[in-house]
Amino acid sequence: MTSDTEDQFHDLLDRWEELREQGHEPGVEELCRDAPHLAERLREWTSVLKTADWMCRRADEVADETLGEAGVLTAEEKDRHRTLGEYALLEELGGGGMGRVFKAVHRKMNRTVAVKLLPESLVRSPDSVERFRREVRALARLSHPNVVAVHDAGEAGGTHFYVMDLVDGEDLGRLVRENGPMPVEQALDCLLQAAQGLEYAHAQGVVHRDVKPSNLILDRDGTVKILDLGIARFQPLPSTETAGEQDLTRTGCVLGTIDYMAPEQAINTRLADHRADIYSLGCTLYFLLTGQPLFGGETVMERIVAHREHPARSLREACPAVPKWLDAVFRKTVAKRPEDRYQSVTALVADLAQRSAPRDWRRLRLAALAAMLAAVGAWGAWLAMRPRDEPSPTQQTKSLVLPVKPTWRTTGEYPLIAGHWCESEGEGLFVDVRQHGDEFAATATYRHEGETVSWRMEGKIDRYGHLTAKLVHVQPHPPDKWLPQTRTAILEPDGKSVHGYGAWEGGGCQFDWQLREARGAEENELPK
Amino acid sequence: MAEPTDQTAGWLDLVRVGDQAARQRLIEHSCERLRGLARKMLRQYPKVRRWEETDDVFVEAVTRLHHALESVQPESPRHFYNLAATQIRRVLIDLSRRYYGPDGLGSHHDTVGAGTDANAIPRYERADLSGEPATLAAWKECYEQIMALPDEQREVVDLLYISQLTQEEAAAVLGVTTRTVRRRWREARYRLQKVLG
Repeated sequence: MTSDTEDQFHDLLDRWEELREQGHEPGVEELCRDAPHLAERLREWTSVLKTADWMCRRADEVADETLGEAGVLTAEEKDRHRTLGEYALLEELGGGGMGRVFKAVHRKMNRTVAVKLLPESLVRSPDSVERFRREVRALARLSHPNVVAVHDAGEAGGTHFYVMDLVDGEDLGRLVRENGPMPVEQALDCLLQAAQGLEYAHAQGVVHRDVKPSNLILDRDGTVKILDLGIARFQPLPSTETAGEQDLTRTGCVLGTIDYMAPEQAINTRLADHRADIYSLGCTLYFLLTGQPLFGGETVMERIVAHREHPARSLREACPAVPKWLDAVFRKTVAKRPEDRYQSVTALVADLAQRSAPRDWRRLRLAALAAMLAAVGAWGAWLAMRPRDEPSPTQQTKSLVLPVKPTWRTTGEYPLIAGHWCESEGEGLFVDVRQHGDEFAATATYRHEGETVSWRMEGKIDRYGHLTAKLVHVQPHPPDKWLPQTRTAILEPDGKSVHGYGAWEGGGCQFDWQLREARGAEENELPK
Repeated sequence: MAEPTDQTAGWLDLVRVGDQAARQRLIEHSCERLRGLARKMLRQYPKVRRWEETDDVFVEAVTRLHHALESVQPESPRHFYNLAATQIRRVLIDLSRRYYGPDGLGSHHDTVGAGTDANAIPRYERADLSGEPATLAAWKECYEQIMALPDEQREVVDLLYISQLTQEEAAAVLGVTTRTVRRRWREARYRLQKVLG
């Protein structure tokens, strides 16, 4: 065939393709009206090219058709699904990689639970449904204080779900993002509890494979509970998560969360055994103490490569308060090769438990409360020091970092008597404290320079003796810019000093107090 | 979707002056293409999907691609796409071997409804894409045949099918007219479909 004929032939094919793109199906005879000698060849080519249409479809479209089910309910669907079998859905608690989670009530038992809806793509074939149910039955047999209990799995209206304990608390990822890095003692305690939960699960043959701060819930009693144990294996596509959480998006395609993922797991999840959970625990510890993932990196691949190839940073360098022994434990948990890590969580738990003598936080609570009152006394100090509130010579402050530049700093010695706080510059101070569970409220009234000063604060104490309170009422009114104000304080373990800060928009004060006399705070009852 | 070529060329300029972030974006862009193609190839395989483990496979493949592209300094968009497509095709061929070779992950597992042929597509999974390779073996053959195409045609297939550029973008990368791209693309598809049956 000559070049001219060949050109003519392709012109015809161009025309044929153009018409098809416009939605027509042109006949060969019509196209070849002026070149009947090309008709037979054109017929053959168009027939083959039609079969080759699949190559013109964009791979994205096909992939998305197959995997596009987000598995979440739209607002409309949500209304339709207000009940799921025996469960009435209440509020939405949030979503994870696995789908949305609702607070729900079992309608007959009147029991409040959390219900997680599974994306459709996870349970699209009968065998995957059966496998999912079998797994949930296995998980339902697990019972441990550090594991969120799974009760049931079900299906209603085509939606598959599983039912677990509703935990009243916050996940560690969120806690750290909101409050900053944890003190060493608290992080250690959380790690130990999570490790104990995993130790139990591993003994039952269940590997988590997605251990990360957002899967560890700290409940109101200070108990850490592991979420989504054994569920990760059903997770085909991690979702895009919020607030900087580096879960993989579809671009990355990997099971789990790479910021906490063992190197071998990023290569092949099936290669990951219980030692991958140990690695993830190490990465979690790093995050709790620093507020940062162990490895940074702009892209998914950079982070995967870092986990595989870059040496782990020293925990002690990032957080100087970390003792040497804990840094050594950390290094062992995040070793690149599984065989260089702790070979069981039991060994890790043993190391942690041996080195970190448990502290009786509960015993310290009252002392901490008393200390907070002293801290709030800083407000009285401000009133007293109004004309002369230059910063005092400072002591080294530890434990707390003021989130804003302090406007002033106070240090001093304060006598403390349970329920009564005597401030030398005021007179006749009376403090009334009411505590219910971890919530407390305190009011104080006293005379200062002939003026009656009063304040009221409300807040919470956690099991570590950390106090967070808001000043909700102060008389006379301080400058507006200082309200609302949050006060946070930590009582040192010796019960004799307290460090804390008050923060308001654009400023703050920092205090370091030596409690000259903490007597009574621990032994005596506070006024009811 | 494919990034516009001018954008890509811009990245390449940045890469040449040492902008690591631009380099990473360019590499991620190719990893994304690989992901789409691998999913397309594996989507008909409930045996693979059943284990929900295609992601593991992708990570390994994507890691390899990432390393390969990191180790070269592309001279031009055309050079980059050639390298990327060559790597992607190679990875896809390896993936198909891995699943359905004699020691493939799928070789000792049965899938309900799949019939006795290890590579058969169960009826309920079949997509309406009549000419598309129906087995992993056929996909492997397809990628091998792409490699065997005359260079001009292979390059167009790499740009349009593997890298998902538009015809206009491909023309710009190759420095030819869109009409030429269309013709080479058509010839390549015809040849491939004839070979693949």
